[in-house]
Amino acid sequence: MRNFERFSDQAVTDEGDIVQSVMLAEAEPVSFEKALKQNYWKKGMIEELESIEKNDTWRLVQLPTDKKCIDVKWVFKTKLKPDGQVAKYKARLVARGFLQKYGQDYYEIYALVARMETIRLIVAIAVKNNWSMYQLDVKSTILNGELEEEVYVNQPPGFEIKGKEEYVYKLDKALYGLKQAPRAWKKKIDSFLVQQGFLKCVTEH
Amino acid sequence: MIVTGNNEEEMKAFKKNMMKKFEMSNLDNLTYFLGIEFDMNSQGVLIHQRKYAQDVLKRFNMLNCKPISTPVDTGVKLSLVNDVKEVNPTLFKQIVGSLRYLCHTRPDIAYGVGLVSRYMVKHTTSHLVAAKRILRYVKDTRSYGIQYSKN
Repeated sequence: MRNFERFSDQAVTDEGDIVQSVMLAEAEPVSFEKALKQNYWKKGMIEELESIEKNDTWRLVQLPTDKKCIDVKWVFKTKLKPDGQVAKYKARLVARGFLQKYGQDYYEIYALVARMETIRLIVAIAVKNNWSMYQLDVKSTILNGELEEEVYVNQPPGFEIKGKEEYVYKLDKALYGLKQAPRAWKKKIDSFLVQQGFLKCVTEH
Repeated sequence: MIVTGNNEEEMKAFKKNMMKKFEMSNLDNLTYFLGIEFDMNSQGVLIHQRKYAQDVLKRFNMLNCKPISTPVDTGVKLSLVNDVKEVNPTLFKQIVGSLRYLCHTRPDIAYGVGLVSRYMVKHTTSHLVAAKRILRYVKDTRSYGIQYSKN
Protein backbone atom coordinates (compact mmCIF):
# COMPACT_ATOMS: atom_id res chain seq x y z
CA MET A 1 0.00 0.00 0.00
CA ARG A 2 2.88 2.31 0.76
CA ASN A 3 4.02 2.21 -2.83
CA PHE A 4 0.58 2.94 -4.11
CA GLU A 5 0.30 6.08 -6.15
CA ARG A 6 -2.28 8.48 -4.83
CA PHE A 7 -3.71 11.74 -6.03
CA SER A 8 -5.03 14.27 -3.60
CA ASP A 9 -8.29 16.01 -4.35
CA GLN A 10 -6.33 19.20 -4.91
CA ALA A 11 -4.79 17.58 -7.96
CA VAL A 12 -8.06 18.19 -9.80
CA THR A 13 -7.60 21.29 -11.89
CA ASP A 14 -10.10 22.74 -14.29
CA GLU A 15 -7.69 21.86 -17.06
CA GLY A 16 -8.82 18.30 -16.63
CA ASP A 17 -5.28 17.05 -16.31
CA ILE A 18 -6.26 14.65 -13.56
CA VAL A 19 -8.02 12.58 -16.19
CA GLN A 20 -4.64 11.86 -17.68
CA SER A 21 -3.04 11.06 -14.35
CA VAL A 22 -5.75 8.52 -13.65
CA MET A 23 -5.42 6.90 -17.05
CA LEU A 24 -1.68 6.85 -16.77
CA ALA A 25 -0.69 3.21 -16.56
CA GLU A 26 2.86 2.50 -17.69
CA ALA A 27 4.76 5.08 -19.63
CA GLU A 28 2.27 6.98 -21.68
CA PRO A 29 3.43 10.46 -22.60
CA VAL A 30 1.43 13.33 -21.18
CA SER A 31 2.54 15.98 -23.63
CA PHE A 32 2.35 15.70 -27.38
CA GLU A 33 5.82 17.24 -27.75
CA LYS A 34 7.29 14.16 -26.08
CA ALA A 35 5.03 11.84 -28.01
CA LEU A 36 5.99 13.36 -31.35
CA LYS A 37 9.56 12.20 -30.78
CA GLN A 38 8.47 8.58 -30.48
CA ASN A 39 7.72 7.04 -33.84
CA TYR A 40 5.03 4.67 -32.64
CA TRP A 41 3.12 7.47 -30.94
CA LYS A 42 3.43 9.65 -34.00
CA LYS A 43 2.08 6.79 -36.06
CA GLY A 44 -0.83 6.54 -33.66
CA MET A 45 -1.58 10.24 -34.07
CA ILE A 46 -1.44 10.06 -37.84
CA GLU A 47 -3.74 7.04 -37.80
CA GLU A 48 -6.22 8.92 -35.68
CA LEU A 49 -6.17 11.93 -37.99
CA GLU A 50 -6.58 9.72 -41.05
CA SER A 51 -9.57 8.08 -39.48
CA ILE A 52 -11.05 11.51 -38.74
CA GLU A 53 -10.42 12.74 -42.29
CA LYS A 54 -11.77 9.60 -43.90
CA ASN A 55 -14.88 9.97 -41.87
CA ASP A 56 -15.59 13.53 -43.07
CA THR A 57 -15.69 14.63 -39.48
CA TRP A 58 -14.65 18.22 -40.07
CA ARG A 59 -13.99 21.02 -42.53
CA LEU A 60 -11.32 23.70 -42.27
CA VAL A 61 -13.04 27.09 -42.06
CA GLN A 62 -12.54 30.56 -40.67
CA LEU A 63 -14.19 31.03 -37.31
CA PRO A 64 -17.31 33.22 -37.50
CA THR A 65 -16.81 36.20 -35.22
CA ASP A 66 -19.79 35.37 -33.01
CA LYS A 67 -18.73 31.77 -32.41
CA LYS A 68 -16.45 30.26 -29.85
CA CYS A 69 -13.90 27.59 -30.48
CA ILE A 70 -13.19 24.52 -28.36
CA ASP A 71 -9.69 23.25 -27.67
CA VAL A 72 -8.62 19.76 -28.58
CA LYS A 73 -5.81 17.74 -27.08
CA TRP A 74 -4.09 14.40 -27.51
CA VAL A 75 -4.52 11.54 -25.09
CA PHE A 76 -2.17 8.57 -25.31
CA LYS A 77 -2.93 5.05 -24.25
CA THR A 78 -1.12 1.76 -24.58
CA LYS A 79 -3.64 -0.93 -25.42
CA LEU A 80 -2.85 -4.38 -24.10
CA LYS A 81 -4.01 -7.81 -25.16
CA PRO A 82 -5.50 -10.10 -22.49
CA ASP A 83 -2.08 -11.75 -22.10
CA GLY A 84 -0.42 -8.42 -21.33
CA GLN A 85 1.36 -7.86 -24.63
CA VAL A 86 1.14 -4.48 -26.29
CA ALA A 87 -1.62 -4.55 -28.87
CA LYS A 88 -1.49 -0.94 -30.00
CA TYR A 89 -0.16 2.50 -29.21
CA LYS A 90 -3.30 4.52 -29.42
CA ALA A 91 -3.49 8.27 -29.75
CA ARG A 92 -6.91 9.79 -29.34
CA LEU A 93 -7.82 13.32 -30.23
CA VAL A 94 -10.30 14.63 -27.69
CA ALA A 95 -12.27 17.84 -27.46
CA ARG A 96 -12.21 19.58 -24.15
CA GLY A 97 -15.94 19.17 -23.71
CA PHE A 98 -15.93 20.74 -20.29
CA LEU A 99 -15.46 24.09 -22.04
CA GLN A 100 -18.79 23.67 -23.82
CA LYS A 101 -21.70 25.81 -22.73
CA TYR A 102 -25.25 24.51 -22.46
CA GLY A 103 -27.61 26.05 -25.01
CA GLN A 104 -24.70 27.26 -27.10
CA ASP A 105 -22.56 24.24 -27.89
CA TYR A 106 -24.90 21.45 -26.81
CA TYR A 107 -28.49 20.78 -25.81
CA GLU A 108 -29.27 17.20 -24.91
CA ILE A 109 -26.76 14.72 -23.57
CA TYR A 110 -27.01 11.02 -22.94
CA ALA A 111 -24.59 8.11 -22.72
CA LEU A 112 -25.36 4.51 -23.45
CA VAL A 113 -23.85 1.60 -21.55
CA ALA A 114 -24.41 -2.12 -21.69
CA ARG A 115 -25.88 -3.77 -18.63
CA MET A 116 -23.82 -6.74 -17.55
CA GLU A 117 -26.99 -8.60 -16.52
CA THR A 118 -28.24 -8.32 -20.08
CA ILE A 119 -24.96 -9.61 -21.47
CA ARG A 120 -25.01 -12.58 -19.11
CA LEU A 121 -28.60 -13.31 -20.10
CA ILE A 122 -27.78 -13.23 -23.80
CA VAL A 123 -24.80 -15.52 -23.26
CA ALA A 124 -26.96 -17.92 -21.27
CA ILE A 125 -29.63 -18.06 -23.97
CA ALA A 126 -27.05 -18.50 -26.71
CA VAL A 127 -25.25 -21.32 -24.92
CA LYS A 128 -28.49 -23.09 -24.10
CA ASN A 129 -29.50 -23.07 -27.76
CA ASN A 130 -26.02 -23.88 -28.95
CA TRP A 131 -25.82 -20.69 -31.01
CA SER A 132 -22.49 -19.28 -32.02
CA MET A 133 -21.59 -15.86 -30.67
CA TYR A 134 -19.62 -13.21 -32.50
CA GLN A 135 -18.25 -9.96 -31.34
CA LEU A 136 -18.22 -6.88 -33.50
CA ASP A 137 -16.45 -3.68 -32.81
CA VAL A 138 -17.03 -0.43 -34.63
CA LYS A 139 -13.78 1.51 -34.85
CA SER A 140 -13.86 4.97 -33.29
CA THR A 141 -17.58 4.66 -32.61
CA ILE A 142 -18.03 8.20 -31.38
CA LEU A 143 -16.70 9.66 -34.62
CA ASN A 144 -19.71 8.25 -36.48
CA GLY A 145 -22.29 10.33 -34.64
CA GLU A 146 -23.70 13.28 -36.57
CA LEU A 147 -23.83 16.63 -34.81
CA GLU A 148 -26.96 18.75 -34.79
CA GLU A 149 -25.23 21.67 -33.15
CA GLU A 150 -22.69 24.04 -34.68
CA VAL A 151 -19.35 23.27 -33.02
CA TYR A 152 -15.89 24.56 -33.89
CA VAL A 153 -12.59 23.17 -32.66
CA ASN A 154 -8.99 24.33 -32.91
CA GLN A 155 -6.51 22.48 -35.06
CA PRO A 156 -4.87 19.55 -33.25
CA PRO A 157 -1.57 20.38 -31.52
CA GLY A 158 1.41 19.36 -33.62
CA PHE A 159 -0.60 19.07 -36.82
CA GLU A 160 -1.50 22.66 -37.64
CA ILE A 161 -1.73 23.34 -41.36
CA LYS A 162 1.02 25.70 -42.52
CA GLY A 163 -0.22 29.09 -43.64
CA LYS A 164 -3.65 28.40 -42.23
CA GLU A 165 -2.81 28.41 -38.55
CA GLU A 166 -5.65 30.75 -37.66
CA TYR A 167 -8.26 28.52 -39.32
CA VAL A 168 -10.45 26.22 -37.26
CA TYR A 169 -12.40 23.05 -37.95
CA LYS A 170 -16.17 23.05 -38.12
CA LEU A 171 -17.46 19.70 -36.93
CA ASP A 172 -20.04 17.77 -38.94
CA LYS A 173 -19.57 14.67 -36.83
CA ALA A 174 -18.73 14.16 -33.20
CA LEU A 175 -15.32 14.04 -31.55
CA TYR A 176 -14.45 12.27 -28.33
CA GLY A 177 -14.94 14.45 -25.31
CA LEU A 178 -17.84 16.46 -26.67
CA LYS A 179 -20.75 16.44 -24.31
CA GLN A 180 -23.25 15.36 -26.92
CA ALA A 181 -20.97 12.80 -28.62
CA PRO A 182 -22.30 9.57 -27.06
CA ARG A 183 -25.87 10.64 -27.73
CA ALA A 184 -25.09 11.39 -31.37
CA TRP A 185 -23.62 7.90 -31.78
CA LYS A 186 -26.56 6.24 -30.04
CA LYS A 187 -28.96 7.97 -32.42
CA LYS A 188 -26.97 6.76 -35.40
CA ILE A 189 -26.60 3.11 -34.38
CA ASP A 190 -30.20 3.00 -33.16
CA SER A 191 -31.65 4.05 -36.48
CA PHE A 192 -29.29 1.71 -38.35
CA LEU A 193 -30.28 -1.31 -36.29
CA VAL A 194 -33.98 -0.54 -36.61
CA GLN A 195 -33.53 -0.16 -40.35
CA GLN A 196 -31.83 -3.58 -40.37
CA GLY A 197 -35.02 -5.02 -38.94
CA PHE A 198 -34.05 -5.30 -35.29
CA LEU A 199 -36.64 -4.71 -32.62
CA LYS A 200 -35.76 -2.75 -29.53
CA CYS A 201 -36.35 -4.40 -26.21
CA VAL A 202 -39.09 -2.35 -24.56
CA THR A 203 -37.68 -2.70 -21.06
CA GLU A 204 -34.01 -2.23 -21.93
CA HIS A 205 -33.02 0.61 -24.19
CA MET B 1 -21.32 -5.47 -29.58
CA ILE B 2 -22.35 -9.11 -29.37
CA VAL B 3 -24.29 -10.88 -32.10
CA THR B 4 -25.90 -14.25 -31.66
CA GLY B 5 -28.78 -16.17 -33.19
CA ASN B 6 -29.96 -19.41 -34.76
CA ASN B 7 -29.39 -18.37 -38.35
CA GLU B 8 -25.77 -18.21 -39.45
CA GLU B 9 -26.69 -16.77 -42.85
CA GLU B 10 -28.60 -13.88 -41.32
CA MET B 11 -25.72 -13.12 -38.97
CA LYS B 12 -23.29 -13.12 -41.85
CA ALA B 13 -25.50 -10.73 -43.78
CA PHE B 14 -25.80 -8.47 -40.76
CA LYS B 15 -22.04 -8.39 -40.26
CA LYS B 16 -21.63 -7.51 -43.92
CA ASN B 17 -24.09 -4.64 -43.62
CA MET B 18 -22.35 -3.36 -40.52
CA MET B 19 -19.04 -3.41 -42.38
CA LYS B 20 -20.53 -1.52 -45.26
CA LYS B 21 -21.86 1.20 -43.01
CA PHE B 22 -19.09 1.51 -40.42
CA GLU B 23 -15.41 0.90 -40.16
CA MET B 24 -15.16 -2.33 -38.22
CA SER B 25 -12.59 -4.49 -36.53
CA ASN B 26 -12.75 -7.75 -34.65
CA LEU B 27 -15.27 -10.01 -36.32
CA ASP B 28 -14.37 -13.23 -34.57
CA ASN B 29 -15.95 -15.49 -32.05
CA LEU B 30 -16.68 -13.86 -28.73
CA THR B 31 -13.60 -14.07 -26.49
CA TYR B 32 -13.07 -10.79 -24.66
CA PHE B 33 -15.70 -8.14 -24.02
CA LEU B 34 -15.59 -5.24 -21.52
CA GLY B 35 -12.90 -6.93 -19.45
CA ILE B 36 -14.75 -10.21 -19.34
CA GLU B 37 -13.27 -13.30 -20.93
CA PHE B 38 -15.40 -15.94 -22.65
CA ASP B 39 -13.91 -19.43 -22.86
CA MET B 40 -15.74 -21.94 -25.02
CA ASN B 41 -15.38 -25.48 -23.70
CA SER B 42 -17.05 -28.81 -24.35
CA GLN B 43 -19.81 -28.18 -21.81
CA GLY B 44 -20.65 -24.66 -22.91
CA VAL B 45 -19.13 -21.30 -22.06
CA LEU B 46 -17.16 -20.17 -19.03
CA ILE B 47 -17.16 -16.44 -18.38
CA HIS B 48 -14.47 -15.15 -16.07
CA GLN B 49 -12.37 -12.07 -15.33
CA ARG B 50 -8.97 -13.59 -14.68
CA LYS B 51 -7.13 -10.81 -16.41
CA TYR B 52 -9.15 -8.12 -14.73
CA ALA B 53 -8.60 -9.73 -11.31
CA GLN B 54 -4.89 -9.89 -12.00
CA ASP B 55 -4.84 -6.21 -12.95
CA VAL B 56 -6.70 -5.26 -9.81
CA LEU B 57 -4.25 -7.18 -7.62
CA LYS B 58 -1.38 -5.48 -9.40
CA ARG B 59 -2.96 -2.05 -9.10
CA PHE B 60 -3.31 -2.35 -5.32
CA ASN B 61 0.05 -4.02 -4.80
CA MET B 62 -1.49 -7.28 -3.71
CA LEU B 63 0.28 -9.61 -6.13
CA ASN B 64 2.48 -11.00 -3.39
CA CYS B 65 -0.11 -11.12 -0.64
CA LYS B 66 -0.83 -14.24 1.33
CA PRO B 67 -3.84 -15.97 -0.18
CA ILE B 68 -6.76 -16.93 2.01
CA SER B 69 -9.51 -19.46 1.44
CA THR B 70 -12.56 -17.41 2.37
CA PRO B 71 -13.54 -13.88 1.36
CA VAL B 72 -14.99 -12.72 4.69
CA ASP B 73 -13.81 -13.10 8.28
CA THR B 74 -16.43 -14.79 10.43
CA GLY B 75 -15.82 -12.94 13.67
CA VAL B 76 -15.34 -9.40 12.54
CA LYS B 77 -18.04 -6.77 13.01
CA LEU B 78 -17.87 -3.69 10.85
CA SER B 79 -19.59 -0.54 11.95
CA LEU B 80 -19.52 3.13 11.16
CA VAL B 81 -17.85 4.23 14.40
CA ASN B 82 -15.36 1.98 16.08
CA ASP B 83 -11.66 2.48 15.71
CA VAL B 84 -10.29 5.93 15.25
CA LYS B 85 -7.85 6.10 12.40
CA GLU B 86 -9.43 6.91 9.05
CA VAL B 87 -7.84 5.50 5.93
CA ASN B 88 -7.30 7.08 2.54
CA PRO B 89 -10.86 7.39 1.21
CA THR B 90 -9.78 7.36 -2.44
CA LEU B 91 -7.89 4.10 -2.05
CA PHE B 92 -10.77 2.42 -0.24
CA LYS B 93 -13.29 3.52 -2.86
CA GLN B 94 -11.03 2.40 -5.69
CA ILE B 95 -10.71 -1.07 -4.18
CA VAL B 96 -14.45 -1.35 -3.60
CA GLY B 97 -15.20 -0.11 -7.10
CA SER B 98 -12.85 -2.66 -8.64
CA LEU B 99 -14.34 -5.45 -6.53
CA ARG B 100 -17.84 -4.48 -7.61
CA TYR B 101 -16.86 -4.82 -11.26
CA LEU B 102 -15.34 -8.21 -10.46
CA CYS B 103 -18.71 -9.31 -9.04
CA HIS B 104 -20.07 -9.62 -12.57
CA THR B 105 -18.62 -13.09 -12.84
CA ARG B 106 -17.98 -13.78 -9.16
CA PRO B 107 -21.14 -14.35 -7.15
CA ASP B 108 -18.97 -15.96 -4.46
CA ILE B 109 -17.56 -12.58 -3.42
CA ALA B 110 -20.84 -10.69 -3.79
CA TYR B 111 -21.67 -10.90 -0.10
CA GLY B 112 -18.30 -9.64 1.05
CA VAL B 113 -18.26 -6.85 -1.51
CA GLY B 114 -21.77 -5.81 -0.50
CA LEU B 115 -20.60 -5.70 3.09
CA VAL B 116 -17.66 -3.38 2.51
CA SER B 117 -19.67 -1.26 0.07
CA ARG B 118 -21.87 -0.10 2.91
CA TYR B 119 -19.08 2.01 4.31
CA MET B 120 -18.27 4.32 1.45
CA VAL B 121 -18.94 7.44 3.56
CA LYS B 122 -16.80 6.53 6.52
CA HIS B 123 -14.24 3.81 6.73
CA THR B 124 -11.46 2.87 9.07
CA THR B 125 -8.64 0.36 9.07
CA SER B 126 -11.05 -2.49 9.82
CA HIS B 127 -12.98 -1.79 6.62
CA LEU B 128 -9.83 -1.60 4.55
CA VAL B 129 -8.65 -4.88 6.06
CA ALA B 130 -11.98 -6.48 5.14
CA ALA B 131 -11.73 -5.16 1.57
CA LYS B 132 -8.16 -6.41 1.26
CA ARG B 133 -9.20 -9.78 2.62
CA ILE B 134 -11.46 -10.15 -0.41
CA LEU B 135 -8.48 -9.34 -2.62
CA ARG B 136 -6.46 -12.01 -0.79
CA TYR B 137 -9.26 -14.48 -1.45
CA VAL B 138 -9.35 -13.46 -5.11
CA LYS B 139 -5.63 -14.07 -5.47
CA ASP B 140 -5.90 -17.85 -5.58
CA THR B 141 -9.34 -17.94 -7.14
CA ARG B 142 -8.91 -15.48 -9.99
CA SER B 143 -9.80 -17.99 -12.66
CA TYR B 144 -13.18 -18.70 -11.06
CA GLY B 145 -16.13 -17.70 -13.17
CA ILE B 146 -19.61 -18.67 -14.24
CA GLN B 147 -20.07 -21.75 -16.36
CA TYR B 148 -23.05 -21.75 -18.70
CA SER B 149 -23.92 -25.31 -19.70
CA LYS B 150 -25.50 -26.34 -22.93
CA ASN B 151 -28.45 -27.95 -21.23
